[in-house]
Amino acid sequence: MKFKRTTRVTPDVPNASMSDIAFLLLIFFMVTTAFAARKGIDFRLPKDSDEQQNQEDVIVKAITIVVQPSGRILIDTIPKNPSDIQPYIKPRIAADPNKPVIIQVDENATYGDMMAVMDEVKASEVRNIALPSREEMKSW
Amino acid sequence: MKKHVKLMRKSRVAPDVPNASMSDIAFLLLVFFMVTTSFSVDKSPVNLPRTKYRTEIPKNHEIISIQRNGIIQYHGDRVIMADIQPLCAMEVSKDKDRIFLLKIDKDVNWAIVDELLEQMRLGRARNLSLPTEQRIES
Repeated sequence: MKFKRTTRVTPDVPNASMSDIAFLLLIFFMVTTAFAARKGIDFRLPKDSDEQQNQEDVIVKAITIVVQPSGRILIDTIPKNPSDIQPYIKPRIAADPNKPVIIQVDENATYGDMMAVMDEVKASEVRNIALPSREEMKSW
Repeated sequence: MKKHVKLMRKSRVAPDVPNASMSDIAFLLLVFFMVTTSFSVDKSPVNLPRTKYRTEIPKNHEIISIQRNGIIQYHGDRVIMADIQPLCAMEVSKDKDRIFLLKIDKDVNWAIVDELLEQMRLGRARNLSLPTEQRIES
């Protein structure tokens, strides 16, 4: 007796739609991806105990930068441009690496004005930067 | 009598864009975006200041943002200035070296930033990171 040969179906994972799925996921990730700003300027707030130590001495020794509204600045009471900060500070810091720099910001100035100055001061490799609050400035 | 020359029919190659490697490219890009994607909790619209000096910001941090109109957010949730001190104190009690990332719009008035820093100082926060955009010299 002759048996009919059974037709064999080869096992197969359907992958025709794989590229569609890949493109779908690709578009999803491209749309939702937000490359977070992972760089910036680090800054340390003082402890309460830090404030007490020789405050008057620090003020006398320090380079003082006043940030006025619309980005005008005074370095040790002399009007200057932000681009003048580095040439002014660098030789003084080279002579005394622990020389403090005090950034006094007018309450009507903007955060961007302060950061423009902070950028130049940080680039001058200043170790000791003070950003006094309005209350502290009143007490001086 | 004229002889007809039989011209051979040229074998036509159908025009075709090779797309065999398309799925490979798609998967490669897919893996790239999956690896680099970071779903940020804080989506506040903030126009960051631009600086030349920039350092890497450590990954684990608390995010405080101030928008141009003065709205303050803590990890994307709206808060008021008086909330900052207890929130900072709570985080610092868990980890005294906790880093606080301040996303502040460049046009925010300094008086608001000054008040924020004062509240953070009272909450014993010490380590701040001020994210910026890259400033390119013209």
